[in-house]
Amino acid sequence: MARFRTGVVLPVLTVLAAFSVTGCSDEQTPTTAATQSAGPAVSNAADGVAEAQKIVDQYRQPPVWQGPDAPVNIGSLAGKKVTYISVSNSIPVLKYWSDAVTRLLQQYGGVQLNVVDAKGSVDEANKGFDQAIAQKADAIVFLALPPQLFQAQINRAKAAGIKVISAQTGIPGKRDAGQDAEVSFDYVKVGQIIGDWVVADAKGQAKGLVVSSDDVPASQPQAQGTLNEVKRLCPACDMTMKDVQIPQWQTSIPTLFQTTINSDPTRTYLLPLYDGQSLPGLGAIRTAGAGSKVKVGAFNATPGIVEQLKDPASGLKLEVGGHNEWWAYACTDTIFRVLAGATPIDNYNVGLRIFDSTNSNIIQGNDEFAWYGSTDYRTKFPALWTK
Amino acid sequence: MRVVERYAVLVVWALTVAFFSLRSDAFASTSTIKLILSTQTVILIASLGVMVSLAVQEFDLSIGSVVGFGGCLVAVLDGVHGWAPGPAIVLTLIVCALVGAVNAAVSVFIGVPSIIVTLGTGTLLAGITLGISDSKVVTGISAKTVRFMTDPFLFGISAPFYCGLLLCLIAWFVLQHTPLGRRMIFIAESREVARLAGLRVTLIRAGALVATATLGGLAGIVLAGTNSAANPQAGAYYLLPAFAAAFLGSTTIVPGRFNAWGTFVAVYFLTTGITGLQYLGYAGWPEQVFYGGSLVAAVTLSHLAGHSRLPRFA
Repeated sequence: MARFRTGVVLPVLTVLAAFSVTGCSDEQTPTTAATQSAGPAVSNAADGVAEAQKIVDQYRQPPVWQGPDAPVNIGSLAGKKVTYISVSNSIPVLKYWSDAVTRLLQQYGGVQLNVVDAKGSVDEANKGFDQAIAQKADAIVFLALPPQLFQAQINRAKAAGIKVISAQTGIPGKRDAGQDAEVSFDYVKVGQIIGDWVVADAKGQAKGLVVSSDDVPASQPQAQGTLNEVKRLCPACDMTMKDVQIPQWQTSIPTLFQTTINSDPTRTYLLPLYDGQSLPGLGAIRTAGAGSKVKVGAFNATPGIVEQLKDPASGLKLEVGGHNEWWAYACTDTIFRVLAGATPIDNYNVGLRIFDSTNSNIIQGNDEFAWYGSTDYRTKFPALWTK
Repeated sequence: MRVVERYAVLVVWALTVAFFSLRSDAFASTSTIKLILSTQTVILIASLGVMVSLAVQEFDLSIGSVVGFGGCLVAVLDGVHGWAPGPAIVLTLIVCALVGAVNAAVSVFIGVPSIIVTLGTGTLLAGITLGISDSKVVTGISAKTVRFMTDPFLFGISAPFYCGLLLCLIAWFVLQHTPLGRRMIFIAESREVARLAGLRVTLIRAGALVATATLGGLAGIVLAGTNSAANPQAGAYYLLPAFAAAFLGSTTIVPGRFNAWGTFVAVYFLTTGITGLQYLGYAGWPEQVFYGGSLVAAVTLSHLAGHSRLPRFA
């Protein structure tokens, strides 16, 4: 067992590395769910472009509340204890999430959150489970840790009567390790939106490259989401996929971008999963003076990278951002529902927004939440939490 | 035999170019040459840095962290605090040199093996890098700096490549044609004998570690300037490529010694192979196989051919 645990440190650290450079999340996600389609295949190219354009126009706007409408009674939850195991709180977005969830649970439900920082270590995460069981916690949330690696701990916690929630493991609502709930960004949807943008932007004649990173478990759901969406809406489009894993991002992405352009100058859509993955490639595009020839699109809208949308020389033309505060409310709601014995919500449809040349002017200042232009969740969620 | 050994990697490089030129129409083009030369400057400079300390038998495992730190520091000074590019770059190089001085002080003057010291300082520096960048990508690097790093300078290739080339020239001259270079070789062969012969062994070893860290900082500056942003996590991924290039370089041009042109050849030979594989559609794991396989094959063949012609580390 000790050997097994040692062996899984690398995947966890890999996940951690992905978080740290993307500012967001990626985790264990079976590829089967990635094959889900947004709708039927179109019968002709014009219909596909029109449908893609409609979706793109929708996601360029501030995200609209599509969360649950079933209330949950949280009147009896005061004093409940929840252990929250974070893969590493040295990463700002993860620290932000644990702080925000702590505040929201206390403010609205009087629920205490005990945050355990796993520091990227499986052993520390295991200690968090043990600690929660010893302290007779009412629920355990584990964030950005692959559920399959903690099957034994989940089973022990459940045997002790503790509810278990996984968070940010890839596909919303995916409960394949016996956990009671899962709350995540919808990475398949992210991939689909990127595909829609490509189809709409190219008017049905796109040639592109999806760059996956299969050491990140959410890689295939997002990548397949893009490929399937383009295939569905654009029969004439030609997309290929290459896999470049985290240790090679810095050294291989620059040459991959340039060899793609040199091999086929018409293959202009370069779609790495995350903007952190794209960053070294943007430098190569700049060096090659190819900023006007290619269109790079990625997920995260990480402050510090998303600003390059305003620099034509970078080649960055699309960012899809996920709203982190919205997700913190969704996580809080999940905890309330699980503690109250209510049915968990499979997909909160946490706000996603397209940032491109049509709206890049809204990327101003350090308040990334303001870029999304949507605060409905701040009132909608508390309205569900009745006493 | 000596000639074969000296130029074996160059010959393999030429064969690699020929192979990929036959297999891919796009490979044999000026754009490929520009690609290969312009995208590897960070690795080249970092590899030269590693080579300098290896030349006196010191292992500097902090090189990756120094690359990341240098990139973030110049980005913070330039992009966040609004320093002019010149002073920001100079201060970054000075601070990185001080990091090298700390490595030198602990390993050379106190006597802790450099491999241990630099492992520690590298980890320490990685933490400091996250601290100064608030664990975020640092942006706002001045357009002037970015343009200098990315705009074509000569033959359509940006200035950092020529900077790397100049550094190779300087390193070659110092190592091959100056008393200092001869002393470094002497120290690498036997520190104790060198000391008894009256050489300033500690000073030269310390200087090598300072030079390594300074070059690491320069590599970080080039990385940040090229990307127009600094990723605090990026530097770690340059550690192994830099060592691989330095060791592979020690098998060619001047076999058995860490040398500048050997390092140059190694960097661009490996990049040529990876680029060719990408042209053929083999991104991802085949690149690693080529990278690692080339290193093992070259070092092994060199060892078999020359027996004692590898540096003592290898």
